Amino acid sequence: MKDPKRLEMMNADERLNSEAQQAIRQTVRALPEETVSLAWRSALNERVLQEAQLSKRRQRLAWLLRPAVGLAMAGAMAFVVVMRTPETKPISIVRANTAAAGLEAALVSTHRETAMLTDVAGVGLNATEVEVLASDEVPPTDWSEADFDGF
Amino acid sequence: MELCVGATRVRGQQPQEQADEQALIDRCRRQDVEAFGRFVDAYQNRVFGFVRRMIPNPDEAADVTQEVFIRAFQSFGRFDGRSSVRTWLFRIAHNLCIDRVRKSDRSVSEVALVDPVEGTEVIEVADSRWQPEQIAMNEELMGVVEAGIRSMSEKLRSVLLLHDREDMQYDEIATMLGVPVGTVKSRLFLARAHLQEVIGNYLNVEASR
Repeated sequence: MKDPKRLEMMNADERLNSEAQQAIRQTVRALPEETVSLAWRSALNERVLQEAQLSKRRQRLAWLLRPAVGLAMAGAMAFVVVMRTPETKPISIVRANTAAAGLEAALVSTHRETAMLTDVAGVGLNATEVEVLASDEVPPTDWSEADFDGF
Repeated sequence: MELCVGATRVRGQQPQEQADEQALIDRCRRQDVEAFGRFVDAYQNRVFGFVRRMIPNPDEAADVTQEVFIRAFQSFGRFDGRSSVRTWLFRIAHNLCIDRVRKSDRSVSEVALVDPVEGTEVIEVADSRWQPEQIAMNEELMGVVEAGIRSMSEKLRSVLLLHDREDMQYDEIATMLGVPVGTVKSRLFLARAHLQEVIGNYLNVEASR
């Protein structure tokens, strides 16, 4: 059994090859050729030249812009990479460590300075010195026995 | 000159001619103005004939034909050679014509895509008045044929012109229009049947005078 689509196609071919259809084909083929005017051709030549110049300009511009655009893209990428680096935490830890070490060093240095000043100049001249009173020492007062009797 | 670089080549074409054509196409791809001028020389009348029959207004047809070649010049770099350069050029022309026709308001009555009743062909081939050569010489009859072509829908007209006028193959036309080969054949049949009817009516009126 033949495929209906194929059969249809064969039918179409037969119909198109009929004498009447072929006569129309010959008629259409025999129609005179249309010709363009010289003015038309001249206008086309001008447009083609303009288009060629425009195209060259575009290519030149693209040639100039391409590296600039590439550089800008690379810069933008570098910026993004630097700004998004996950090393901010380790850096802060290092900074904290450095700060802690600095404080420690400062404390030790102050202590040594104080000790040296005390050794050289004696008690009372050191700016960092704190006056410590003996626990059994009674602070001096202007009050007399008569003042207490008044209570 | 017939340029046929691409899938379809004219039979009997010498390898040297093919090489020359390929060289010309390559130069056109590089937007060589002189080579493109030769390309225009080869096709300007045929493309204008097609556009002129697709668009009734002669000034508009001339504009569209220029646009066809400008588009071809701009996009020659993208021509991949899968089809012949002629098919590619006529595809541009067809698309631009369809765009233009759709944009403009059309008042011309068109022939619908209705299958004519079987066996109602108006003209008998044996009719002595029915000679294609005679039609070519008879200006009045030629005008009738042109008017018959103009009165068809764009779908019928484009298939008729591409096949019967430009000698394109069914599959080339089908690819160009994006329709199955069977549709191309049925459109061609309808277009020819319409022309037969138009010419037959004219001949009958002439005979009755």
